[in-house]
Amino acid sequence: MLKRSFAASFGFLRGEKMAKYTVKKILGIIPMLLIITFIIYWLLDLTPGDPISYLMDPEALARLSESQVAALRAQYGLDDPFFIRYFKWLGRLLQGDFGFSSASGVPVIQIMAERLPATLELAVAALCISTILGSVLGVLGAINKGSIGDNVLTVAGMIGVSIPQFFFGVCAILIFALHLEWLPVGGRTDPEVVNFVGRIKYMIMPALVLGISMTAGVMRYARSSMLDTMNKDYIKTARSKGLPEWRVNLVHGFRVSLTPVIVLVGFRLPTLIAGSVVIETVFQWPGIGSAFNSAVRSQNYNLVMMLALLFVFMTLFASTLVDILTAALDPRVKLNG
Amino acid sequence: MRPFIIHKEDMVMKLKKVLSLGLALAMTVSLAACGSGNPPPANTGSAAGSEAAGSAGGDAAGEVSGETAAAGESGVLYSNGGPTEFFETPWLNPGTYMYNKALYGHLLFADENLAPISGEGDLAQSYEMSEDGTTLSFTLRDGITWHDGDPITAEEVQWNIEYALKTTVLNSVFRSTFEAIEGAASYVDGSAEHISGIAVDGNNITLTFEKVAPDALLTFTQFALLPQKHLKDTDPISLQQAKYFQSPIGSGPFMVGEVQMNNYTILKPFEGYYGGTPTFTIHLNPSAGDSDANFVTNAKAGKLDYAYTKNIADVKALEGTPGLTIDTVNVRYTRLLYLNKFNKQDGSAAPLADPKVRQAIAYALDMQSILDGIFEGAALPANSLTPDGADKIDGLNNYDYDPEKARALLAEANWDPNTELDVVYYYTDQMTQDLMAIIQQYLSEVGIKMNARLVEGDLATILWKAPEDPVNGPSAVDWDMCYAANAALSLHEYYDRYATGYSINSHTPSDPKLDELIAATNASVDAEVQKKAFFELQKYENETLFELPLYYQPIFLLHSDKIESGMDKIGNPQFNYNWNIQNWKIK
Repeated sequence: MLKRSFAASFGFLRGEKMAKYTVKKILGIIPMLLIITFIIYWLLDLTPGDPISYLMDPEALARLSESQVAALRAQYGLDDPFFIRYFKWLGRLLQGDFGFSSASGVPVIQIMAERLPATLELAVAALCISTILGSVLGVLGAINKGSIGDNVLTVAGMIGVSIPQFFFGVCAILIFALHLEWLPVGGRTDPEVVNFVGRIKYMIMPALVLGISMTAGVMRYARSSMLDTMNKDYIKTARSKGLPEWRVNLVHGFRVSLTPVIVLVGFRLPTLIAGSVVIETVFQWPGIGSAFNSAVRSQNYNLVMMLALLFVFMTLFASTLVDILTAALDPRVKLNG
Repeated sequence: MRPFIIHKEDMVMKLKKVLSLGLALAMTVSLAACGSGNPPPANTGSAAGSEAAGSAGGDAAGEVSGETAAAGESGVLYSNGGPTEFFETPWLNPGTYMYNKALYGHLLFADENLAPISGEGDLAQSYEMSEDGTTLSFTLRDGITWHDGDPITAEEVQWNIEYALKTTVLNSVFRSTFEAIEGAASYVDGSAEHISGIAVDGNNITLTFEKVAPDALLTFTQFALLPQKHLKDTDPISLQQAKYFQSPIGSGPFMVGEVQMNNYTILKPFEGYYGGTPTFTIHLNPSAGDSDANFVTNAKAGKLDYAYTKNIADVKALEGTPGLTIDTVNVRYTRLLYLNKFNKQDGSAAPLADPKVRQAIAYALDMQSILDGIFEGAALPANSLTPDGADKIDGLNNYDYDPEKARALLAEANWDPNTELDVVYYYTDQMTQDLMAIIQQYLSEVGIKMNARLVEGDLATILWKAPEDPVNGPSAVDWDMCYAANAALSLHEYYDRYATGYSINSHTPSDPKLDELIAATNASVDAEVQKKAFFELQKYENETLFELPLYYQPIFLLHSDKIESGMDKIGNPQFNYNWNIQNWKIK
């Protein structure tokens, strides 16, 4: 009776602490976001010139009168000091106003809605390819450690890591688009394409190039993880129980070794979205990578800030939720900390 | 036997990992769901585009679109320069982009040499320039319309000129012409509601000039008319950011059909075009400015039928490709060194103030060998800003490579061999870096030290800020030489910038003789009179080297054999000329 009462009290106390912990963790995202966005805004401000320098040909800009330049700067709110500009941007953001691209006047939200799906489509396809291929090859390498096949895969992995994506992409275009004429040279769609199935042929090359160039890393990680797993006691136990080798490898080894690999791959997504600019350029893929790149180069504050905010938020939110759920499941986590 | 146990901490770790994965995937899926599985349909973000779709022109063009889809790729002309985020206004670089040449009409036509064609115009049925150049009158064609079917009026021509003067994206040649109209200054400073020198009467527009506008006719061969009703409420300062430029409406032979920003853009025939209806559509691949990273791959894949490049490497890569022809077009594009002759800010004399030093530099550079090495003979050594041709006087000094003469001139000028020239450049390509290294080597051989550095950021200030005192300086820029390019629509664009007090004259102090020669080129609208004045100016330029012309870079125009006929004249593809595109026959 006393024991049950103590447990109930403990559960109640922990539940209350958990709620506080959750609120604290979620609120913790806010200063992080503020600090990171401030740093990004500050770094943009430190780059040479200002957005006006990139809005038009510099010689044409030099021909403008002082009053015209002043009017342009006022138009884009650049006549305010840095801190005022940052807090004005923040104020608008809190009111749901994401602003307009300084280059085109198009709402930033519209640009994101048009470009982000294309990049996600490519990134998810590449992730799937690299995960499946990398995991399978890595595990096979680990199972056959030291064999010719393992050595070949190791060398292939090194080569895969070393070849620049643009070179790989151009080679693929030369072979599959120009020589064999199996696939289109680039783009995401054409006027006559009406659905997703019709667009698959456009995605094959960029997704494969991006995916295969990521495979080497996944393969090396999967191999190490599998080797590590194979040395665990429960694998030895499984073997000693007389289980068939394939069952030990696939059911007990492969499954367990894959978990850290998948987590690694999952967390690659934000990097992949921001870093797909090379592939997008080579394959004329109308994604967010090229838009982000040109926005940074032209100091397109609103667009850069919103995209950066999205990437940062994705990462922070995932990390925070993992912390919260871990705390909920693991009683050893100190909720006061 | 040892039991098969998974410890609690292992379990928690696994759960953490699985949760991490789940969260990452969930966010991915939700983000992907934000957009549809298919790209958005034809851009409907622009009011202008929506209205066009509902018009008679829109219906007619819809039929063409259907035919194209059914016929596959036949009847489609592939080009590049498609918009990545917006259509660039046609008022700054009037013909850089294919769409600006195809979508908009102009009052007059230029021939392939950019000389205004006399007699019949484009949107103007006729025009007349007074002999003294003080009045220019146009009569619009009857029945001409915008792509949305609305009539083009003479009042809109007036509105275009007045509105353009208040924008920040106006070509300098256009601005010079418009500012020469009587009453333009009062209009710009806000003291007048309209420019008094523009009179409209029915279909007639008459411009009265306060001073000679030597490029008035040329201006109206390039100045595209835009529809007032779509832009009248747009602040001129932010013209480029208007919704209109997501799907613009013009009056040229093609109209916007479908826009997939940064993916493709379809231009379809405009049935209401007075000069006839094209029988093909134009498919534009996206590319920024005049550099297309995918020029070669698209051309080899049959996705480029008409396009231009300045990149010799592209041309070499396409040599021998069946079905493709590449023409070299000599254009007004000169690479040069700006030579800063203003005193430095610390009061010391400019190292390049002495003409002998400038001449020594010219003799020290073996431009023919340099160009053979870098451009494989595709570029020509320059002896003037003006490219070779009828516009240039014969007999100019070519400053052929002569290091001995360079050394002698330096000795005459008492050149201090410890002086190091600060050279800046703003192009980031490898060719520029190679050129800088080569120039450095050549100059060192005659005893001139130089240091080359890349400048980035606010180039308007870094390169072109003029000093407060255009006579005595000191210089407002911090360099001795700048490797630059001048692309000119008119010869005046090459030289006017060296006049005393000109807004972008950052490097040439006031020179009464130079001012006088420049003024002479602007004193008449008569082409022959102008030509003679330019000859005198070129002689002075060649003697004094107030800048150092290095080479002329041509443009390479690619066209495929898919263009069966109609493309009879080849001119500078960066500007508008009577290219007759509505009558091209495309396979």
